[in-house]
Amino acid sequence: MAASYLPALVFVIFAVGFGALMLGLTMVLGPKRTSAIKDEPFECGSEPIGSPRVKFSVKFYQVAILFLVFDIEVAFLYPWASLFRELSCTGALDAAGVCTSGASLFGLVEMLVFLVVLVLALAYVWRKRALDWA
Amino acid sequence: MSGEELIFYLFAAIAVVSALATVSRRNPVVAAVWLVVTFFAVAVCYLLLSATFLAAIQILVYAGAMMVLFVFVIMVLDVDERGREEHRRPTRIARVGYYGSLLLAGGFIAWVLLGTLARQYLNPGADLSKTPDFGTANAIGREIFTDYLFAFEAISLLLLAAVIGAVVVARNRRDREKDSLQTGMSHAARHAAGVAELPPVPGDIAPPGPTPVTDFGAPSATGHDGGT
Amino acid sequence: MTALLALLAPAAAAAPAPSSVGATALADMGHLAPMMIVAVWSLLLLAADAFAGGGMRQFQRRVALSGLALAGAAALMQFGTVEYDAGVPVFSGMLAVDHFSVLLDLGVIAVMAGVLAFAGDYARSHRFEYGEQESLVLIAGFGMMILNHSTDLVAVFLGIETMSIAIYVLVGARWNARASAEAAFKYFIMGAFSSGLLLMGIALVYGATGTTHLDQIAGQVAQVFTQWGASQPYVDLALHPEGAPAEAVRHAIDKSVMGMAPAALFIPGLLLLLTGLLFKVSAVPFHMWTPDAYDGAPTPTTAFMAAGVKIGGFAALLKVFVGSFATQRLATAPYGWTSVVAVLALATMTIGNLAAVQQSNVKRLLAYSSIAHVGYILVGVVAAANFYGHAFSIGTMRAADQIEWSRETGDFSVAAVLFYVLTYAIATLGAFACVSWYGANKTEGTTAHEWSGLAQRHPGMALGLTICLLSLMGMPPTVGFFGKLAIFRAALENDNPMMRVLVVSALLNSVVGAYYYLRLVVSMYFRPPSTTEVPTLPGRGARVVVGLCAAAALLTGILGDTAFRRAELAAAGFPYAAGTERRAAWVDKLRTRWEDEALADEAAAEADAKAPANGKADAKAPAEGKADAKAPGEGKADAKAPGDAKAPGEAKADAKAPGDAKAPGGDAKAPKGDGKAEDVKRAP
Repeated sequence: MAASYLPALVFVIFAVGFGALMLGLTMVLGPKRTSAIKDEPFECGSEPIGSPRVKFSVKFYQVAILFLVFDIEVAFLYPWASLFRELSCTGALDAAGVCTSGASLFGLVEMLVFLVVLVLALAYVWRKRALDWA
Repeated sequence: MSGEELIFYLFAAIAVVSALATVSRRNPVVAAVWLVVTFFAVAVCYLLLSATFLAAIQILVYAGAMMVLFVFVIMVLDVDERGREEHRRPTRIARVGYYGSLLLAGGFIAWVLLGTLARQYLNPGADLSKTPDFGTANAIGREIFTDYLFAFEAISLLLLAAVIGAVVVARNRRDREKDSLQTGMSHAARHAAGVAELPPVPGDIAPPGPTPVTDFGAPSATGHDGGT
Repeated sequence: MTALLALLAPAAAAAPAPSSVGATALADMGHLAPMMIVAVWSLLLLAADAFAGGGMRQFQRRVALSGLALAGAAALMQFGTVEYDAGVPVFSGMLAVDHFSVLLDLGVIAVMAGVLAFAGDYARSHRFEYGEQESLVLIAGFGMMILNHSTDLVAVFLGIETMSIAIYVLVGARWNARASAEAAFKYFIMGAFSSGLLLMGIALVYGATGTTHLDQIAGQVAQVFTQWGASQPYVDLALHPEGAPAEAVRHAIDKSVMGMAPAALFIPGLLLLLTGLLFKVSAVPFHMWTPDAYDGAPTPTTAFMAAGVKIGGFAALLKVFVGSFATQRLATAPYGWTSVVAVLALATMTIGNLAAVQQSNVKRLLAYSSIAHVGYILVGVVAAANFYGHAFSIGTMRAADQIEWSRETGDFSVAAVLFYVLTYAIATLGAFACVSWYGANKTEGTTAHEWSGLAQRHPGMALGLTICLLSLMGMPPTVGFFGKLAIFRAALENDNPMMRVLVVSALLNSVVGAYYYLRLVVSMYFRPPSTTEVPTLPGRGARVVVGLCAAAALLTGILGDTAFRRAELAAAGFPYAAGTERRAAWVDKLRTRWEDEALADEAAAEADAKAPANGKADAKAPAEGKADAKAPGEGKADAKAPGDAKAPGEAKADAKAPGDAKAPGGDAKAPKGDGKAEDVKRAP
């Protein structure tokens, strides 16, 4: 089964190898002339002061954590979507994946409950202006 | 040892080594990058164990979203670089405790490994990965949406609590940032001062440690704001 | 294991038809009505906060309390009914509804209502009012209720996370105090760490047993460890092979290693689970975060942590360790996990009490005292696990009646733990409500000298707090005394030196505890008032809660036996899987016995009625009668309550009900009239 991922592995090896090759070649072949001025960090033409690591606003963090939460939500949606046919069938699917017994709302309702809660979360975030950048 | 097993052990080793690197690096950004490596190596292990859906989620949620969050947290916190360099020599007791706990942890891990091996070779279960759709989104979904229905629905409430937490905690910080905006400090000065300090409230404890030091030194009089 | 295999098998073969789950899901939700109400209300409150904004804040408390009244009524209607005697597994065995869970649900609902009664006042007065508070409390309570019902390690983890995440936010919500952020940070780091340990423990236990379902784990564990027990001759032979045929020795080695292999993986998992859960209930040595987190958190949140989290945490501890891991050799002394927990219990109560003595801050004092109480409760946990463990001892060939005795005393120990946790929750809620009340406008009266002479300025509150403190201390008329008594009795039933040591040290510790509780009481009553007058919280909420908690502590103390019978009913047949015949039979047997006892008591009381000597029995009978008179109307009164928009006071009367609801619940021990009503209910 894992053999089917061989192309991916080859791709990764190729990508890493190509990048390494390019970097290596520039290191070996490229001309190197350094001076004190050249080594100085460049900052909009003005003299750099202090560390480039400045404290970020908490807004970034907030957006990131909200993204994470809704990302997890989507992670649940995917298997649900791929299983939806089975979930909305009262019996088991036949070999061809066709529902021979009656339809069921179960699959729809369970995801609806889940989504209602998270849509409420979204509405809450939006109403609390947590998505405003100002 | 088949090629597949070889790759598995290779990536398992990468995962362990990069995890060790994650916890041993001083620079938090470097540690975070090592953590990405760990996540990817673990994802490959999942793949080789036929847990394909889990591998995809591992990449999407952990290596993707979680790492962005970590990096942002590091930037929001702005761990002081100078503070990290100044390390007092640990006392003898601290060193004994350190190595003692390392030994304990090592013993514990060895115990778990032995237990796993014993379980694997003396009392192996059926190889579930041989079932046709093991580890696919369908197989996992079938569990989540039937047997673990309650857990699935309750997770929505858990996520809701996390969202509320993000909004409430960040709102507190944002209010303080806004406060400092109103006091008329420059952009750089606000960076330098970190979050604006509120006037002390009776019953408050003193802020732990010295006030945050950055490389800015005194708030810049020129209003130069760090090159933005 | 086979069940697990079936689940993972290809869809066409054995997959359960999803819609069948859907059909039962509705019925399951009905069984979980209290929980569902809490969940829905948390959503309603959040929506109200999001869309109505500040305009709703005054109203939110009422909405929350009416929801809790509804949930409490639903739980009260479930408690004591025969339908839940054997427990009903719901949601494919993730959760179960039985008297155990419903009783603890009542406790959680009462604590939530008590906290919400004054949390809004507190936040407003200290200028950090925010609209999410009610919603967060309900979500945390939902998590606790998951723990009460959990029969699967997945549910345990989910419950702990839901509870913890909401509480991290509640702890850190006070944005104008650095201590709050510090407390939230500490609690979050420690809590996340312990959750990680818990999750690793679950993974290892799953690896060893192939299931996360607690009843199935119990089966596996019993098998593994009795197998280990049964193969003791093999182990002996493997260690001392002198003169035995080589073939037999090899066989013996194989057998003994086979028996221990799963244990090698299981025991680290057990230790990690134990660590994770002890973190949550803040037992020594995992208590470091407690004083800082309790001290820095807004006081209503502290009350919620001290009362609610303990209920949920001990529910999980009981479910996992006493319900599932209590087999001989694994649990029982001297080599089982109860030895570890016994040492920790000793350390917890001692360190908690000794540290509490040194505190001059009332909040920290109560925080350390809550640690000490965890130690007492752990004694009960150890006793229960030891009894159940002996009931499992197949190797030693105990007589059937001895096994039954072990089960009964085990049930008694679980009942003692339940009773203690709930009564402790009531008393500590009252105490923290009083601390919340004392201080307003960003000043908090938490230093001890500010409390001196409180009785002169606020006699009512001083009295309420005194009763709560006496209950925490274990003074006879209050319920705390019966809680301690029950724990000690449970421990002493065990013919075991370790338990005797524990009881003696718990007694000594109670004396230490009495010192610092009484010191506070004395300073309130016999010291001159402090010169600076501390402002008190506006609004009635906190005062009503203190009054109700004190009343509950007294009333349940006076009705000690009757109240304890509810805990016994909740604990009946605890280690049997929910919904099994054995459990139904066991509970039925106990019910019958209690009824007979009640009838015998009544006959004796009637016979002695003329004799003037038995004043005590006489005094008790009318009290019980009164409680019973209330019983028939109980369900109706409660169901009606939420309908009319409640005055806060009324809401609280309802909210508190679970506290002494153990009294009106109505069953076997009660005199004749109620006994009959019960008979009607019991008829299928």
